[in-house]
Amino acid sequence: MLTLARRFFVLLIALMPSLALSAILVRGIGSEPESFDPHKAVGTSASVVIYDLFEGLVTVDANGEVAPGAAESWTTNPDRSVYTFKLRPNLRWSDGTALTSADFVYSMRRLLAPETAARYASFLYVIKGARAVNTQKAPPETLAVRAVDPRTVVFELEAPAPQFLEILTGVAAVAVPRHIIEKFGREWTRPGNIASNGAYKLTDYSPNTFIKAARNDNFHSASAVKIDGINYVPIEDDNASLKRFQSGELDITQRFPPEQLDKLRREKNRSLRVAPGRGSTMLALNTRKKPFDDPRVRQALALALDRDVLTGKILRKTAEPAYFMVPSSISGYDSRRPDWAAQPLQARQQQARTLLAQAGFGPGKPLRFTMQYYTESKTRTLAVAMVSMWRAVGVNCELINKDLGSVISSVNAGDYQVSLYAWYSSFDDPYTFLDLFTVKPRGSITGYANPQYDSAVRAANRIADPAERYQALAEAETLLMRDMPAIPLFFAEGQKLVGPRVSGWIDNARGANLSRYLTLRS
Amino acid sequence: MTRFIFKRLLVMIPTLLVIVTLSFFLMRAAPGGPFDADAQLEPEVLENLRAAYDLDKPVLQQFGLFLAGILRGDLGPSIGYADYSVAELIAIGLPVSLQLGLTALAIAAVLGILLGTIAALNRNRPLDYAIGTLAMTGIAVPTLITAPVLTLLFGVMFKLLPVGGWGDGDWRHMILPVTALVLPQLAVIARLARGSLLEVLSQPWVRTARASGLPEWRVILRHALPPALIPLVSYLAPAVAGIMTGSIVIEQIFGLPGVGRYFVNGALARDYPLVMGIVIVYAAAVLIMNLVADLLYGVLDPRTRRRMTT
Repeated sequence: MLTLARRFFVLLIALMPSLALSAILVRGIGSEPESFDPHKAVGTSASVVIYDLFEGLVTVDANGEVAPGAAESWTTNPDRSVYTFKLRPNLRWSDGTALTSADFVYSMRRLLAPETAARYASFLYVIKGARAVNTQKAPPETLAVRAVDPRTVVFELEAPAPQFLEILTGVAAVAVPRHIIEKFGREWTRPGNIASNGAYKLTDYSPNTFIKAARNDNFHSASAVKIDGINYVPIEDDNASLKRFQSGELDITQRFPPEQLDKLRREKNRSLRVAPGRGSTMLALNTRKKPFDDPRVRQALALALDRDVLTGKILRKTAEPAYFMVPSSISGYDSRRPDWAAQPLQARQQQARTLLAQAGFGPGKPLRFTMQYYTESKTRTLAVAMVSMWRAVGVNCELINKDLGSVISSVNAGDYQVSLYAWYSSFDDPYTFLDLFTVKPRGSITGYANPQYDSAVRAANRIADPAERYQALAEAETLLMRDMPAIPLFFAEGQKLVGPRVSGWIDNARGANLSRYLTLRS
Repeated sequence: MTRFIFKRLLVMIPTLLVIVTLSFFLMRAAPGGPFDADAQLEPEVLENLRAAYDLDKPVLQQFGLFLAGILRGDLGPSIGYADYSVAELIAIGLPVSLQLGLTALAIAAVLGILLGTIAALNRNRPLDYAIGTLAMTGIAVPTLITAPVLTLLFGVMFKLLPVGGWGDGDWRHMILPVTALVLPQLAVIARLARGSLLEVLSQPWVRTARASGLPEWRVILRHALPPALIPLVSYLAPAVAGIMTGSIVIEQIFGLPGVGRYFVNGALARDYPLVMGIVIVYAAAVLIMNLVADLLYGVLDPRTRRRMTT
């Protein structure tokens, strides 16, 4: 008979190989994902999980670039308005059911059906008939997505769209399992019910506690997936997130208190990873009302801001100064830098005073307005700094602090004077940043309405040649910056903490690091 | 007695209705809506979303639908947790909050009464002052401070305990949050117990008991402590409700999956159905625990029992 200690030892030896073999990656994902249903989910934390669980026709590679997903290849007609995708042979859902082109047709129809109420449905409005389906004007069957044979899907678009592959990398454009959704309804994403077609499958979930996924053996490239399982841990608190990372509990996290940045930068193990971001932080100006109906006032405020102080001293070089709307990380696209960007601050301040004087403001009658901002890391310090920069040119600004939801709703309602605002895009494309300022049925966020700008953006977006399209969009952006309905401030970089166990991590502007490309060092 | 309980339960219905109505309209009056954080949604998409949650209907009609739902026992779907209904989320979160709160309260009660008794028996001596100082610190320092300090000490510096998370309710994950919850409660209970016991100790029947030659421990345990605990009951029963809601901060700091976390997230995200569901649970808990306090009074104090039956 073995003594207790020896028994324990034997047990330990017996367990050891399995401990060494089952490598589990622990990813801190910030807020709790709203849903695992790709058509209902929003936000970055949900997309981290969904990109591991599901795959679209195209996906992204380890560098965050567009790569073949469920489709092994694709062709397009000369004007890039019809795309034909060829699926990989023998695709299967994680439950073993065959995945065919019909699944993609179903997924697109479900995404655009009004009852689904998918938030990202509008990204797919480029598909012919999509807007009509989404607004209940036409049945889902009229959507121009067809399955020609079990391995071929054809998309007909409203207009030429060289950016269509980029749009298909979106989290909402993945395949969803019809056989599971029709069987379980709203509960289809629960562990036990769900089937997925990505590198991983959901195995266990408890809201606000953990999300566990295991390698999907039916994935087409399963043999290339190194990590056996992923635990996603939702942590909203920045401090808690950093502590759990430092204690070794988390391998990856995107949340930490911004004031810890300098300390993290100095650390020897270099866990801080940075990549240019796809976000544009700006000040929206309400051009519907005085005094911001006058472009000279808007220009003056833009000129008087010293962005190098904002990004260098306050944001501690975690952001790039912005003199135009479209983030510089959009590949192949070049915004035109305005001439004043290179001028010294004194010259710009002088110019701002002149413009303000022309608009009727001066020492006797200073420009007064209120600026609203939301509480996020350092926004208060930024706002205070901008107030003092404006004071230098004789402008009085009063600050109003609100929560993010209230800021966004008052901007949408046009009930503000100046507002801090940020716009992000997961796509490697400038269009959404420029479309933000075109007139929509409900108006635009700043009330800016310039038919010339609208037609320039829309026409540019329909150009089939990618280089020419970017050229035309950049010209429209120059027009926008001349009118300045919003003042570009900076492009914030993406920051993550990646622990020493993780290898294969490549920083990229998309901020997409699929678990299937990572490995764990023992 | 039964009639008393029945009457009290009946009174609860209008009280709950008032709370629910007020919360419903206050929630709607808060600026912003559930889909604001998504910034720019295409108007077509927003319309589909609002229709999916009946938000396209007039507010009064929404309130009617909400009340009708409650009567059917249906709290509706959550907006922020799209794959779950509000009832399911409460069923997931409530056990965690209860486990946390009741453990904390039980520990706080036992330790608090013990410390309070020791302090009372050593009145105006160093031990009394030590306990008094400790209690004052416990009351004065908010959990907002103690919780991060505890995690910093035991989680990050000494790496003895997990710094957060629930870990399937593993006891190691409970130690720090429960400690943080216990400290302020412990302090209040110790002070209450001390004061109340001191008062009782000066009563004539205690003097009689001592005079009859009973050993001091029997005097305390049999004759002084039970009546001294009555004021504590009036504190403890509502405290159960209070500790549930009070754990909102703790749940947020330690990242625990309790109802409090849903409440905060729901309110910030304007997840109307989720917030309303939790308001109902909290309100009912407070009302029921107050009733329990009154009933316990009757058990412990014969004078009140007579009042209840009439």
